[in-house]
Amino acid sequence: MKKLVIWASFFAVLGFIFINSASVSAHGDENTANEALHAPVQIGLREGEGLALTRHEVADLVHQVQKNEEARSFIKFSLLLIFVFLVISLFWPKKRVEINTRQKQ
Amino acid sequence: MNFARIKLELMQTGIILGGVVLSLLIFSLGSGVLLSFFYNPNPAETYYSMVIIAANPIKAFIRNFHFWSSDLLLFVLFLHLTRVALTKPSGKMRRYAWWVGVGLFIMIFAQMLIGTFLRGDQEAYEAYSHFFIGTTGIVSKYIPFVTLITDFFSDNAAIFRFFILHAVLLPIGITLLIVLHGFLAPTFRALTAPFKNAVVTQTPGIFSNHAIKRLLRVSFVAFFAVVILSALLPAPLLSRPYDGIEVTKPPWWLLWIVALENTWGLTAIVIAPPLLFLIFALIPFFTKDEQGADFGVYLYLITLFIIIALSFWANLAPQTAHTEMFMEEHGSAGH
Repeated sequence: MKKLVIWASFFAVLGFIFINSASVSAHGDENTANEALHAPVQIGLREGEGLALTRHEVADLVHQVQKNEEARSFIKFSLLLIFVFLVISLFWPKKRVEINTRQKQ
Repeated sequence: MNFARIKLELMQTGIILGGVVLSLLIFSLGSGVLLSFFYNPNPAETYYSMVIIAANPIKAFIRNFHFWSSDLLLFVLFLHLTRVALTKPSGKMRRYAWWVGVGLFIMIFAQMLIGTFLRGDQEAYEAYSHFFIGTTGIVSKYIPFVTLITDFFSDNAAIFRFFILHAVLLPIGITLLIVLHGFLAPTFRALTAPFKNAVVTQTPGIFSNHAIKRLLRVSFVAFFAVVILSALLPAPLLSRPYDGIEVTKPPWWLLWIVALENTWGLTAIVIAPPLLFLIFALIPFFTKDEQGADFGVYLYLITLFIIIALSFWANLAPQTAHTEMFMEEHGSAGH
């Protein structure tokens, strides 16, 4: 129980720090404003083909795939967490006293 | 089948997870070779070659297979690391095996990151911008010669050079480290025992070994899982890239860095990964060859749980334009 409280407190403090210090703002100057146009480009090249688009237009283009990826990421981390707990339960290094006690039980 | 039997089966499977990682690496390399026949590293053509690959059912399946096998590889790699951390990398050989394993982890991380660049879509461009601005805008202040590397991976040849790294140099490096890892890791050495027996005593050979049989069975299950995932869930391909804009989040295994970037800005990207690798490299120093959990075990588990918690948080948090924020604060010095 004591260990559980320590772990819970640790993650609660960590969560509190991150939630409070998160800053989610950009798009202030002329290059990053929502109305600014962004030219198509390729890695290593300055220009790509096609028309320049605004932030919202590009965001709309990637929205659905990103939404799917977010759902997939959530599932992947949930599964990873479950499997990590399984590995911990199987391979947790016990002391000989704990092993002997269990065998007696 | 009783509970004790199930537990024993699972434990024996847990022991051979390193071998499963190797199998998934082979799947990933095989599908990567096939994919490279259709991929065009000429930057003006890269994105279109990806669109053509994604539009053809067979090529798309190969690409999906490559994506899911490398995703599953990283998944199993984390489980393998956890198992080894719990069974303790203590003693000379196991410590060396752990350090070589950390080297392998770094190389696989780099391999997957470069694989993301090669897609040539919006997310690829944003990942490349993070790498480029992080290196030229932050690291070069302290290590000036690092701009030699960014210059080398700029301009027309950038994608082609990343492709050479991804398709040739890193796979060779990973293979060499796996061989070294195999010489040092006790489980891996135990798996190679049947090879030695087959030569010396003319016994039936490697397939009579229970661990090898189990490895083949689990690898087949992994292969089947990757095939199913590849058939049902296509690998992501976003729009063509647009300059000076950040509207995506990275793949799941990079989300923990995004959480740190959300708090501390782009600087986190150049500090967090080396810090993680350093923590992993330090674990054998805190691990004792005694029964029971020690500081090495706790350090590993706390690090892992922080990474998972950060990843969940970044996944739920709104998308943030870290590179744009950095450019706003520092002008165009990074570009």
